[in-house]
Amino acid sequence: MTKQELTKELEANRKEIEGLKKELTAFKEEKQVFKNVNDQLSAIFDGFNEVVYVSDPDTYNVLYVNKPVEDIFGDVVGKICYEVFQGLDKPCSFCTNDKIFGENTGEAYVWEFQNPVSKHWYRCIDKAISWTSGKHVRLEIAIDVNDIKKYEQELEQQTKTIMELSTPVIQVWEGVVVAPLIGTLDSGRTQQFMERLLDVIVKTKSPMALVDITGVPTIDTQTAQHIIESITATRLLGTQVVLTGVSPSIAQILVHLGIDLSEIETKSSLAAGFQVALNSLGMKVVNTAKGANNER
Amino acid sequence: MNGEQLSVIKVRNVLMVTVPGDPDDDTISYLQQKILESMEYYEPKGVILDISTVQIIDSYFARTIVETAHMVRLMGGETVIAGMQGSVAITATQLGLTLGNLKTALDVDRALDMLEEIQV
Amino acid sequence: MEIVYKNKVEINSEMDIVEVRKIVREKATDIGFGVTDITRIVTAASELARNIYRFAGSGVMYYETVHNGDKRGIQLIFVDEGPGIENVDVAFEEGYTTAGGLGLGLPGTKRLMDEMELETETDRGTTVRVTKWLI
Repeated sequence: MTKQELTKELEANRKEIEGLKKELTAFKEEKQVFKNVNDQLSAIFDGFNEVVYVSDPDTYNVLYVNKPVEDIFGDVVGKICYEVFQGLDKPCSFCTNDKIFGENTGEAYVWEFQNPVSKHWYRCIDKAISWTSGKHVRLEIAIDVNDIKKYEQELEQQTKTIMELSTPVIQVWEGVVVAPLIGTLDSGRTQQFMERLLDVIVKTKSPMALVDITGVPTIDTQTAQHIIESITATRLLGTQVVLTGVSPSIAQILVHLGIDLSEIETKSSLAAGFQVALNSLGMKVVNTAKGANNER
Repeated sequence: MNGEQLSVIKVRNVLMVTVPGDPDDDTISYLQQKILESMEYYEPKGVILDISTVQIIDSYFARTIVETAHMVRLMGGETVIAGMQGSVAITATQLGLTLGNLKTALDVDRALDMLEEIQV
Repeated sequence: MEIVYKNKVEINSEMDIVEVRKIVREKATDIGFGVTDITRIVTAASELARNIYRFAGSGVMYYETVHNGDKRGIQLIFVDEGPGIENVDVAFEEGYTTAGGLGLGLPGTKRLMDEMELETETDRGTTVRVTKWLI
Protein backbone atom coordinates (compact mmCIF):
# COMPACT_ATOMS: atom_id res chain seq x y z
CA MET A 1 0.00 0.00 0.00
CA THR A 2 1.19 3.56 -0.70
CA LYS A 3 1.65 6.13 2.09
CA GLN A 4 -1.35 8.03 0.77
CA GLU A 5 -3.59 4.95 0.85
CA LEU A 6 -2.49 4.11 4.44
CA THR A 7 -3.20 7.68 5.61
CA LYS A 8 -6.65 7.51 4.02
CA GLU A 9 -7.42 4.19 5.73
CA LEU A 10 -6.20 5.50 9.09
CA GLU A 11 -8.39 8.59 8.65
CA ALA A 12 -11.40 6.43 7.78
CA ASN A 13 -10.79 4.18 10.78
CA ARG A 14 -10.36 7.22 13.02
CA LYS A 15 -13.67 8.60 11.75
CA GLU A 16 -15.32 5.24 12.31
CA ILE A 17 -13.98 5.06 15.85
CA GLU A 18 -15.21 8.62 16.51
CA GLY A 19 -18.61 7.61 15.17
CA LEU A 20 -18.68 4.46 17.28
CA LYS A 21 -17.61 6.43 20.36
CA LYS A 22 -20.49 8.84 19.76
CA GLU A 23 -22.90 5.93 19.32
CA LEU A 24 -21.60 4.32 22.48
CA THR A 25 -22.00 7.58 24.41
CA ALA A 26 -25.50 8.04 23.06
CA PHE A 27 -26.24 4.39 23.89
CA LYS A 28 -24.94 4.85 27.46
CA GLU A 29 -27.00 8.00 27.83
CA GLU A 30 -30.10 6.22 26.56
CA LYS A 31 -29.42 3.34 28.91
CA GLN A 32 -29.15 5.82 31.76
CA VAL A 33 -32.45 7.43 30.77
CA PHE A 34 -34.11 4.01 30.74
CA LYS A 35 -32.53 3.18 34.08
CA ASN A 36 -33.77 6.49 35.50
CA VAL A 37 -37.30 5.83 34.24
CA ASN A 38 -37.16 2.28 35.59
CA ASP A 39 -35.85 3.50 38.94
CA GLN A 40 -38.51 6.20 39.09
CA LEU A 41 -41.28 3.73 38.29
CA SER A 42 -39.89 1.33 40.86
CA ALA A 43 -39.73 4.16 43.37
CA ILE A 44 -43.36 4.96 42.70
CA PHE A 45 -44.55 1.39 43.07
CA ASP A 46 -42.33 0.79 46.06
CA GLY A 47 -43.62 4.02 47.56
CA PHE A 48 -47.21 2.70 47.55
CA ASN A 49 -48.42 1.40 50.86
CA GLU A 50 -50.53 -0.96 48.81
CA VAL A 51 -49.54 -4.41 47.71
CA VAL A 52 -48.88 -4.68 43.97
CA TYR A 53 -47.87 -7.86 42.21
CA VAL A 54 -47.90 -9.45 38.78
CA SER A 55 -48.25 -13.16 38.15
CA ASP A 56 -48.41 -15.47 35.16
CA PRO A 57 -51.92 -16.90 34.82
CA ASP A 58 -50.70 -20.14 33.28
CA THR A 59 -47.68 -21.01 35.40
CA TYR A 60 -48.72 -19.05 38.51
CA ASN A 61 -45.16 -17.69 38.68
CA VAL A 62 -44.75 -14.35 40.42
CA LEU A 63 -43.30 -11.94 37.86
CA TYR A 64 -43.11 -8.72 39.88
CA VAL A 65 -43.70 -7.54 43.41
CA ASN A 66 -43.38 -4.07 44.87
CA LYS A 67 -41.61 -3.31 48.14
CA PRO A 68 -44.60 -3.79 50.48
CA VAL A 69 -44.93 -7.36 49.17
CA GLU A 70 -41.21 -7.97 49.56
CA ASP A 71 -41.36 -6.67 53.11
CA ILE A 72 -44.09 -9.15 54.01
CA PHE A 73 -43.24 -12.18 51.89
CA GLY A 74 -39.59 -11.71 51.02
CA ASP A 75 -38.03 -12.07 47.56
CA VAL A 76 -40.67 -14.20 45.87
CA VAL A 77 -40.23 -13.34 42.20
CA GLY A 78 -40.13 -16.60 40.28
CA LYS A 79 -41.98 -18.56 42.96
CA ILE A 80 -45.59 -19.84 42.75
CA CYS A 81 -48.19 -17.21 43.77
CA TYR A 82 -50.64 -19.46 45.66
CA GLU A 83 -47.77 -21.08 47.55
CA VAL A 84 -46.10 -17.90 48.77
CA PHE A 85 -49.15 -15.65 49.22
CA GLN A 86 -51.74 -18.12 50.51
CA GLY A 87 -49.71 -21.09 51.67
CA LEU A 88 -51.70 -23.45 49.47
CA ASP A 89 -50.51 -26.34 47.34
CA LYS A 90 -52.90 -25.69 44.48
CA PRO A 91 -54.52 -22.60 42.92
CA CYS A 92 -56.85 -20.68 45.23
CA SER A 93 -60.49 -21.71 44.94
CA PHE A 94 -61.38 -18.03 44.82
CA CYS A 95 -58.79 -17.13 42.14
CA THR A 96 -60.24 -14.37 40.04
CA ASN A 97 -58.23 -15.14 36.89
CA ASP A 98 -61.38 -16.42 35.18
CA LYS A 99 -62.88 -12.97 35.67
CA ILE A 100 -60.09 -10.94 34.11
CA PHE A 101 -59.01 -13.03 31.15
CA GLY A 102 -60.89 -14.36 28.15
CA GLU A 103 -63.70 -12.05 27.16
CA ASN A 104 -63.06 -9.79 30.18
CA THR A 105 -59.43 -9.02 29.29
CA GLY A 106 -58.63 -5.41 30.03
CA GLU A 107 -61.51 -4.96 32.45
CA ALA A 108 -60.73 -4.41 36.11
CA TYR A 109 -62.35 -6.77 38.60
CA VAL A 110 -62.81 -5.31 42.06
CA TRP A 111 -63.54 -7.52 45.04
CA GLU A 112 -63.07 -7.60 48.78
CA PHE A 113 -61.24 -10.19 50.76
CA GLN A 114 -60.51 -10.73 54.43
CA ASN A 115 -57.00 -12.01 55.06
CA PRO A 116 -57.33 -15.05 57.32
CA VAL A 117 -54.11 -14.25 59.17
CA SER A 118 -54.24 -10.49 59.75
CA LYS A 119 -58.07 -10.40 59.69
CA HIS A 120 -57.74 -7.15 57.75
CA TRP A 121 -60.11 -6.45 54.86
CA TYR A 122 -58.55 -5.67 51.47
CA ARG A 123 -60.11 -4.24 48.34
CA CYS A 124 -58.41 -6.01 45.45
CA ILE A 125 -58.28 -4.60 41.94
CA ASP A 126 -57.35 -7.25 39.41
CA LYS A 127 -56.70 -6.69 35.76
CA ALA A 128 -55.09 -8.44 32.80
CA ILE A 129 -52.23 -6.38 31.38
CA SER A 130 -49.92 -6.77 28.38
CA TRP A 131 -46.51 -7.95 29.37
CA THR A 132 -43.21 -7.66 27.60
CA SER A 133 -43.29 -11.40 26.94
CA GLY A 134 -46.14 -10.71 24.52
CA LYS A 135 -48.91 -12.36 26.56
CA HIS A 136 -51.38 -11.05 29.10
CA VAL A 137 -50.56 -11.43 32.76
CA ARG A 138 -52.39 -10.84 36.04
CA LEU A 139 -51.91 -7.54 37.88
CA GLU A 140 -53.29 -7.17 41.37
CA ILE A 141 -53.37 -4.12 43.61
CA ALA A 142 -54.63 -4.79 47.14
CA ILE A 143 -55.68 -1.84 49.28
CA ASP A 144 -56.14 -2.15 53.01
CA VAL A 145 -59.75 -1.06 53.60
CA ASN A 146 -60.11 -2.35 57.10
CA ASP A 147 -61.15 1.04 58.50
CA ILE A 148 -63.67 1.58 55.74
CA LYS A 149 -64.99 -1.92 56.30
CA LYS A 150 -65.47 -1.20 59.98
CA TYR A 151 -67.43 1.96 59.16
CA GLU A 152 -69.49 0.07 56.60
CA GLN A 153 -70.41 -2.57 59.13
CA GLU A 154 -71.27 0.08 61.71
CA LEU A 155 -73.44 1.87 59.17
CA GLU A 156 -75.18 -1.39 58.33
CA GLN A 157 -75.90 -2.00 61.98
CA GLN A 158 -77.26 1.51 62.42
CA THR A 159 -79.48 1.18 59.38
CA LYS A 160 -80.81 -2.06 60.80
CA THR A 161 -81.51 -0.38 64.12
CA ILE A 162 -83.31 2.45 62.38
CA MET A 163 -85.40 -0.03 60.47
CA GLU A 164 -86.28 -1.84 63.67
CA LEU A 165 -87.11 1.37 65.49
CA SER A 166 -89.30 2.62 62.70
CA THR A 167 -91.48 -0.47 62.50
CA PRO A 168 -92.48 -1.16 66.08
CA VAL A 169 -95.23 -3.62 66.88
CA ILE A 170 -96.82 -2.95 70.23
CA GLN A 171 -99.24 -5.00 72.26
CA VAL A 172 -101.62 -2.34 73.58
CA TRP A 173 -104.01 -4.65 75.33
CA GLU A 174 -104.35 -8.31 75.89
CA GLY A 175 -105.12 -9.72 72.50
CA VAL A 176 -104.55 -6.51 70.54
CA VAL A 177 -101.38 -5.44 68.77
CA VAL A 178 -100.88 -2.18 66.97
CA ALA A 179 -98.34 -1.76 64.19
CA PRO A 180 -97.94 1.90 63.24
CA LEU A 181 -96.26 2.33 59.88
CA ILE A 182 -94.30 5.48 59.30
CA GLY A 183 -92.93 6.57 55.97
CA THR A 184 -92.87 4.38 52.90
CA LEU A 185 -92.47 0.64 52.70
CA ASP A 186 -89.86 -0.75 50.37
CA SER A 187 -89.26 -4.46 49.92
CA GLY A 188 -86.64 -4.59 52.66
CA ARG A 189 -88.75 -2.77 55.23
CA THR A 190 -91.77 -4.87 54.33
CA GLN A 191 -89.93 -8.10 55.06
CA GLN A 192 -88.75 -6.68 58.37
CA PHE A 193 -92.22 -5.41 59.17
CA MET A 194 -94.00 -8.65 58.30
CA GLU A 195 -91.56 -10.75 60.26
CA ARG A 196 -91.84 -8.56 63.33
CA LEU A 197 -95.61 -8.28 63.13
CA LEU A 198 -96.15 -12.02 62.82
CA ASP A 199 -93.51 -12.74 65.45
CA VAL A 200 -95.25 -10.54 68.03
CA ILE A 201 -98.68 -11.91 67.15
CA VAL A 202 -97.53 -15.51 67.54
CA LYS A 203 -95.70 -14.73 70.80
CA THR A 204 -98.56 -12.78 72.36
CA LYS A 205 -101.25 -14.91 70.75
CA SER A 206 -103.15 -11.78 69.77
CA PRO A 207 -106.31 -12.40 67.77
CA MET A 208 -106.50 -8.74 66.76
CA ALA A 209 -104.03 -6.56 64.88
CA LEU A 210 -104.35 -2.93 63.89
CA VAL A 211 -102.07 -1.88 61.04
CA ASP A 212 -102.03 1.89 61.23
CA ILE A 213 -101.00 4.00 58.26
CA THR A 214 -101.70 7.43 59.75
CA GLY A 215 -97.98 8.12 59.41
CA VAL A 216 -97.81 7.13 55.77
CA PRO A 217 -98.03 10.39 53.79
CA THR A 218 -98.62 8.93 50.39
CA ILE A 219 -98.99 5.53 48.90
CA ASP A 220 -98.00 3.94 45.61
CA THR A 221 -98.99 0.62 44.13
CA GLN A 222 -95.92 -1.14 45.47
CA THR A 223 -96.39 0.05 49.05
CA ALA A 224 -100.08 -0.87 48.87
CA GLN A 225 -99.19 -4.37 47.65
CA HIS A 226 -96.71 -4.74 50.48
CA ILE A 227 -99.29 -3.70 53.07
CA ILE A 228 -101.85 -6.08 51.59
CA GLU A 229 -99.28 -8.88 51.66
CA SER A 230 -98.59 -8.22 55.34
CA ILE A 231 -102.29 -8.26 56.14
CA THR A 232 -102.88 -11.47 54.18
CA ALA A 233 -100.07 -13.25 55.98
CA THR A 234 -101.44 -12.10 59.34
CA ARG A 235 -104.91 -13.38 58.55
CA LEU A 236 -103.46 -16.75 57.61
CA LEU A 237 -102.43 -17.09 61.23
CA GLY A 238 -106.02 -16.65 62.33
CA THR A 239 -105.72 -13.06 63.48
CA GLN A 240 -108.23 -10.40 62.52
CA VAL A 241 -106.72 -7.31 60.93
CA VAL A 242 -108.02 -3.77 60.61
CA LEU A 243 -106.19 -1.27 58.45
CA THR A 244 -106.52 2.04 60.26
CA GLY A 245 -105.57 5.62 59.56
CA VAL A 246 -106.76 5.71 55.97
CA SER A 247 -106.77 9.43 55.23
CA PRO A 248 -108.96 11.04 52.54
CA SER A 249 -105.98 11.49 50.23
CA ILE A 250 -104.84 7.89 50.67
CA ALA A 251 -108.40 6.72 50.06
CA GLN A 252 -108.46 8.69 46.82
CA ILE A 253 -105.11 7.33 45.69
CA LEU A 254 -106.08 3.73 46.49
CA VAL A 255 -109.26 3.97 44.45
CA HIS A 256 -107.51 5.70 41.55
CA LEU A 257 -104.79 3.03 41.54
CA GLY A 258 -107.49 0.38 41.39
CA ILE A 259 -106.25 -1.36 44.52
CA ASP A 260 -108.77 -3.88 45.77
CA LEU A 261 -109.15 -3.68 49.51
CA SER A 262 -112.63 -5.21 49.59
CA GLU A 263 -111.43 -8.21 51.59
CA ILE A 264 -109.85 -6.03 54.26
CA GLU A 265 -111.56 -4.08 57.01
CA THR A 266 -110.44 -0.46 57.01
CA LYS A 267 -111.04 2.55 59.24
CA SER A 268 -110.02 6.18 58.92
CA SER A 269 -108.63 6.45 62.44
CA LEU A 270 -106.71 4.29 64.86
CA ALA A 271 -109.34 5.03 67.51
CA ALA A 272 -112.08 3.59 65.31
CA GLY A 273 -109.92 0.53 64.76
CA PHE A 274 -109.48 0.15 68.49
CA GLN A 275 -113.26 0.24 68.89
CA VAL A 276 -113.54 -2.66 66.44
CA ALA A 277 -110.96 -4.52 68.49
CA LEU A 278 -112.85 -3.98 71.72
CA ASN A 279 -116.11 -5.08 70.12
CA SER A 280 -114.63 -8.24 68.76
CA LEU A 281 -113.09 -9.07 72.13
CA GLY A 282 -116.41 -8.41 73.80
CA MET A 283 -115.06 -5.52 75.86
CA LYS A 284 -115.94 -1.89 76.36
CA VAL A 285 -114.32 1.11 77.98
CA VAL A 286 -116.21 2.47 80.98
CA ASN A 287 -115.70 5.95 82.42
CA THR A 288 -115.45 5.53 86.19
CA ALA A 289 -115.72 9.23 87.11
CA LYS A 290 -118.75 10.19 89.23
CA GLY A 291 -121.72 11.14 87.11
CA ALA A 292 -120.01 10.16 83.90
CA ASN A 293 -122.12 9.52 80.89
CA ASN A 294 -121.49 5.95 79.81
CA GLU A 295 -124.07 5.84 77.10
CA ARG A 296 -121.53 5.97 74.25
CA MET B 1 -93.11 -42.35 56.11
CA ASN B 2 -93.28 -40.86 59.56
CA GLY B 3 -96.73 -42.06 60.43
CA GLU B 4 -95.77 -42.43 64.09
CA GLN B 5 -95.37 -38.69 64.52
CA LEU B 6 -98.83 -38.15 63.15
CA SER B 7 -101.47 -38.41 65.81
CA VAL B 8 -105.23 -38.34 65.41
CA ILE B 9 -107.13 -38.35 68.67
CA LYS B 10 -110.65 -37.50 69.67
CA VAL B 11 -110.95 -34.77 72.27
CA ARG B 12 -114.48 -34.04 73.41
CA ASN B 13 -116.42 -33.82 70.18
CA VAL B 14 -113.49 -32.87 68.04
CA LEU B 15 -110.72 -34.61 66.11
CA MET B 16 -107.28 -33.36 67.12
CA VAL B 17 -104.70 -34.01 64.42
CA THR B 18 -101.04 -33.26 65.09
CA VAL B 19 -99.12 -32.92 61.85
CA PRO B 20 -95.40 -33.83 61.93
CA GLY B 21 -92.69 -31.27 61.14
CA ASP B 22 -91.72 -32.08 57.55
CA PRO B 23 -94.23 -34.60 56.27
CA ASP B 24 -93.48 -36.40 53.03
CA ASP B 25 -96.14 -36.90 50.37
CA ASP B 26 -97.10 -40.35 51.66
CA THR B 27 -97.65 -39.03 55.17
CA ILE B 28 -99.86 -36.25 53.83
CA SER B 29 -102.01 -38.75 51.91
CA TYR B 30 -102.14 -41.03 54.92
CA LEU B 31 -103.25 -38.06 57.01
CA GLN B 32 -106.21 -37.41 54.75
CA GLN B 33 -107.23 -41.02 54.86
CA LYS B 34 -106.93 -41.29 58.63
CA ILE B 35 -108.98 -38.13 59.12
CA LEU B 36 -111.81 -39.36 56.92
CA GLU B 37 -111.84 -42.76 58.61
CA SER B 38 -111.98 -41.06 62.00
CA MET B 39 -114.77 -38.77 60.80
CA GLU B 40 -116.78 -41.83 60.00
CA TYR B 41 -115.94 -43.62 63.23
CA TYR B 42 -116.35 -40.82 65.76
CA GLU B 43 -118.67 -38.44 63.88
CA PRO B 44 -117.08 -35.40 65.55
CA LYS B 45 -118.29 -31.91 64.72
CA GLY B 46 -114.91 -30.80 63.56
CA VAL B 47 -111.23 -31.35 62.92
CA ILE B 48 -108.33 -29.34 64.31
CA LEU B 49 -105.13 -29.57 62.28
CA ASP B 50 -102.27 -28.62 64.57
CA ILE B 51 -99.49 -27.40 62.30
CA SER B 52 -97.39 -25.71 64.98
CA THR B 53 -94.33 -27.84 64.15
CA VAL B 54 -94.72 -27.64 60.38
CA GLN B 55 -91.94 -25.59 58.83
CA ILE B 56 -92.71 -25.93 55.14
CA ILE B 57 -96.05 -25.75 53.42
CA ASP B 58 -95.72 -26.19 49.67
CA SER B 59 -98.51 -26.19 47.12
CA TYR B 60 -99.09 -29.94 47.44
CA PHE B 61 -99.55 -29.76 51.19
CA ALA B 62 -101.85 -26.73 50.87
CA ARG B 63 -103.91 -28.39 48.17
CA THR B 64 -104.31 -31.57 50.19
CA ILE B 65 -105.37 -29.68 53.31
CA VAL B 66 -108.00 -27.72 51.41
CA GLU B 67 -109.22 -30.94 49.78
CA THR B 68 -109.39 -32.67 53.13
CA ALA B 69 -111.39 -29.81 54.63
CA HIS B 70 -113.90 -30.09 51.80
CA MET B 71 -114.21 -33.81 52.38
CA VAL B 72 -114.64 -33.25 56.11
CA ARG B 73 -117.34 -30.67 55.39
CA LEU B 74 -119.15 -33.21 53.18
CA MET B 75 -119.04 -35.62 56.08
CA GLY B 76 -120.57 -33.00 58.34
CA GLY B 77 -117.61 -31.38 60.06
CA GLU B 78 -115.72 -28.09 60.17
CA THR B 79 -111.95 -27.85 59.91
CA VAL B 80 -109.68 -25.36 61.68
CA ILE B 81 -105.96 -24.97 61.03
CA ALA B 82 -104.12 -24.09 64.24
CA GLY B 83 -100.68 -22.78 65.15
CA MET B 84 -99.25 -21.74 61.79
CA GLN B 85 -95.68 -20.47 62.14
CA GLY B 86 -94.99 -16.86 61.15
CA SER B 87 -92.40 -17.73 58.50
CA VAL B 88 -94.81 -20.24 56.97
CA ALA B 89 -97.56 -17.61 56.77
CA ILE B 90 -95.24 -15.14 55.06
CA THR B 91 -93.94 -17.72 52.59
CA ALA B 92 -97.41 -19.06 51.80
CA THR B 93 -98.65 -15.52 51.12
CA GLN B 94 -95.76 -14.77 48.81
CA LEU B 95 -96.10 -18.10 47.04
CA GLY B 96 -99.73 -17.20 46.39
CA LEU B 97 -101.23 -20.05 48.39
CA THR B 98 -104.67 -19.39 49.70
CA LEU B 99 -106.36 -21.78 52.02
CA GLY B 100 -109.68 -20.83 50.52
CA ASN B 101 -112.06 -19.99 53.31
CA LEU B 102 -110.50 -22.47 55.70
CA LYS B 103 -110.67 -21.23 59.25
CA THR B 104 -107.40 -20.63 61.01
CA ALA B 105 -106.62 -20.11 64.70
CA LEU B 106 -103.54 -19.00 66.58
CA ASP B 107 -103.45 -22.13 68.69
CA VAL B 108 -105.30 -25.30 69.53
CA ASP B 109 -107.16 -23.67 72.47
CA ARG B 110 -108.66 -21.02 70.26
CA ALA B 111 -109.43 -23.62 67.61
CA LEU B 112 -111.38 -25.60 70.20
CA ASP B 113 -113.27 -22.43 71.19
CA MET B 114 -114.11 -21.81 67.55
CA LEU B 115 -115.49 -25.28 67.05
CA GLU B 116 -117.34 -25.15 70.35
CA GLU B 117 -119.34 -22.19 69.10
CA ILE B 118 -120.70 -24.25 66.25
CA GLN B 119 -124.10 -25.67 67.03
CA VAL B 120 -124.32 -29.32 66.12
CA MET C 1 -68.93 -18.17 34.14
CA GLU C 2 -67.83 -21.77 34.13
CA ILE C 3 -68.62 -23.53 37.36
CA VAL C 4 -68.59 -27.27 37.65
CA TYR C 5 -71.56 -28.33 39.75
CA LYS C 6 -70.59 -31.27 41.88
CA ASN C 7 -73.41 -30.99 44.38
CA LYS C 8 -76.54 -32.59 43.10
CA VAL C 9 -79.65 -34.49 44.08
CA GLU C 10 -81.33 -36.91 41.70
CA ILE C 11 -85.08 -36.47 41.54
CA ASN C 12 -86.85 -39.68 40.61
CA SER C 13 -89.47 -40.17 43.27
CA GLU C 14 -91.58 -38.36 45.81
CA MET C 15 -89.07 -39.27 48.54
CA ASP C 16 -86.45 -37.34 46.60
CA ILE C 17 -88.50 -34.18 47.11
CA VAL C 18 -88.00 -34.68 50.85
CA GLU C 19 -84.27 -35.13 50.22
CA VAL C 20 -84.23 -31.90 48.21
CA ARG C 21 -85.86 -30.03 51.11
CA LYS C 22 -83.40 -31.49 53.59
CA ILE C 23 -80.29 -30.67 51.56
CA VAL C 24 -81.47 -27.19 50.63
CA ARG C 25 -82.32 -26.44 54.25
CA GLU C 26 -78.82 -27.51 55.32
CA LYS C 27 -77.15 -25.47 52.61
CA ALA C 28 -79.24 -22.36 53.26
CA THR C 29 -78.55 -22.60 56.98
CA ASP C 30 -74.81 -22.99 56.33
CA ILE C 31 -74.74 -19.90 54.17
CA GLY C 32 -76.36 -17.97 57.01
CA PHE C 33 -79.91 -17.26 55.88
CA GLY C 34 -82.50 -16.40 58.54
CA VAL C 35 -85.53 -18.52 59.40
CA THR C 36 -88.00 -16.83 57.05
CA ASP C 37 -85.58 -16.84 54.12
CA ILE C 38 -84.76 -20.50 54.71
CA THR C 39 -88.49 -21.24 54.62
CA ARG C 40 -88.79 -19.36 51.33
CA ILE C 41 -85.83 -21.10 49.72
CA VAL C 42 -86.83 -24.60 50.83
CA THR C 43 -90.43 -24.02 49.71
CA ALA C 44 -89.28 -22.77 46.31
CA ALA C 45 -87.02 -25.83 45.96
CA SER C 46 -89.88 -28.14 46.94
CA GLU C 47 -92.11 -26.58 44.26
CA LEU C 48 -89.50 -26.82 41.51
CA ALA C 49 -88.49 -30.36 42.46
CA ARG C 50 -92.13 -31.37 42.45
CA ASN C 51 -92.56 -29.90 38.97
CA ILE C 52 -89.79 -32.14 37.73
CA TYR C 53 -91.35 -35.19 39.33
CA ARG C 54 -94.85 -34.40 38.09
CA PHE C 55 -94.12 -33.30 34.56
CA ALA C 56 -90.83 -34.91 33.57
CA GLY C 57 -90.71 -37.96 35.78
CA SER C 58 -87.08 -37.49 36.64
CA GLY C 59 -84.39 -34.86 36.75
CA VAL C 60 -81.63 -33.34 38.81
CA MET C 61 -81.17 -30.44 41.18
CA TYR C 62 -77.73 -28.87 41.41
CA TYR C 63 -76.96 -26.66 44.37
CA GLU C 64 -74.11 -24.25 44.99
CA THR C 65 -73.03 -21.28 47.04
CA VAL C 66 -72.50 -18.28 44.78
CA HIS C 67 -70.57 -15.07 45.22
CA ASN C 68 -70.95 -11.62 43.74
CA GLY C 69 -68.33 -9.27 45.07
CA ASP C 70 -68.65 -9.76 48.80
CA LYS C 71 -72.29 -10.87 48.60
CA ARG C 72 -72.96 -14.55 48.92
CA GLY C 73 -76.05 -16.53 48.14
CA ILE C 74 -77.55 -19.86 47.21
CA GLN C 75 -78.16 -21.04 43.68
CA LEU C 76 -80.30 -24.01 42.72
CA ILE C 77 -80.56 -25.40 39.20
CA PHE C 78 -83.34 -27.80 38.29
CA VAL C 79 -82.78 -29.75 35.09
CA ASP C 80 -85.05 -32.23 33.42
CA GLU C 81 -85.45 -33.81 29.99
CA GLY C 82 -89.20 -33.71 30.08
CA PRO C 83 -91.83 -32.29 27.75
CA GLY C 84 -90.76 -28.66 28.19
CA ILE C 85 -93.10 -25.76 28.84
CA GLU C 86 -95.40 -24.96 25.94
CA ASN C 87 -95.97 -21.30 26.56
CA VAL C 88 -93.57 -19.66 28.98
CA ASP C 89 -95.40 -16.32 29.11
CA VAL C 90 -98.64 -17.99 30.11
CA ALA C 91 -96.82 -20.12 32.67
CA PHE C 92 -95.64 -16.99 34.40
CA GLU C 93 -99.08 -15.44 34.54
CA GLU C 94 -100.69 -15.51 37.94
CA GLY C 95 -103.06 -18.36 38.46
CA TYR C 96 -101.87 -20.54 35.59
CA THR C 97 -103.33 -23.96 36.25
CA THR C 98 -102.61 -27.40 34.89
CA ALA C 99 -102.83 -30.85 36.38
CA GLY C 100 -105.05 -30.05 39.27
CA GLY C 101 -104.49 -26.65 40.66
CA LEU C 102 -101.65 -24.21 41.11
CA GLY C 103 -99.89 -25.45 37.97
CA LEU C 104 -96.19 -24.86 37.94
CA GLY C 105 -96.27 -22.26 40.67
CA LEU C 106 -93.70 -20.25 38.72
CA PRO C 107 -94.85 -16.70 39.53
CA GLY C 108 -95.04 -17.55 43.23
CA THR C 109 -91.70 -19.34 43.26
CA LYS C 110 -90.12 -16.38 41.51
CA ARG C 111 -91.42 -14.09 44.26
CA LEU C 112 -89.79 -16.24 46.92
CA MET C 113 -86.36 -15.99 45.31
CA ASP C 114 -84.32 -13.03 44.08
CA GLU C 115 -83.56 -14.26 40.57
CA MET C 116 -85.08 -16.87 38.30
CA GLU C 117 -83.97 -17.94 34.82
CA LEU C 118 -85.75 -20.48 32.72
CA GLU C 119 -84.81 -22.32 29.55
CA THR C 120 -87.14 -24.76 27.93
CA GLU C 121 -87.51 -26.61 24.67
CA THR C 122 -90.52 -28.67 23.69
CA ASP C 123 -89.80 -32.39 24.12
CA ARG C 124 -86.21 -31.65 25.06
CA GLY C 125 -86.51 -30.48 28.62
CA THR C 126 -86.41 -27.56 31.00
CA THR C 127 -83.77 -25.88 33.12
CA VAL C 128 -84.76 -23.53 35.92
CA ARG C 129 -82.11 -21.60 37.80
CA VAL C 130 -83.01 -19.71 40.97
CA THR C 131 -80.81 -17.58 43.20
CA LYS C 132 -81.27 -15.87 46.55
CA TRP C 133 -78.73 -13.48 48.05
CA LEU C 134 -77.92 -13.08 51.68
CA ILE C 135 -78.39 -9.47 52.71
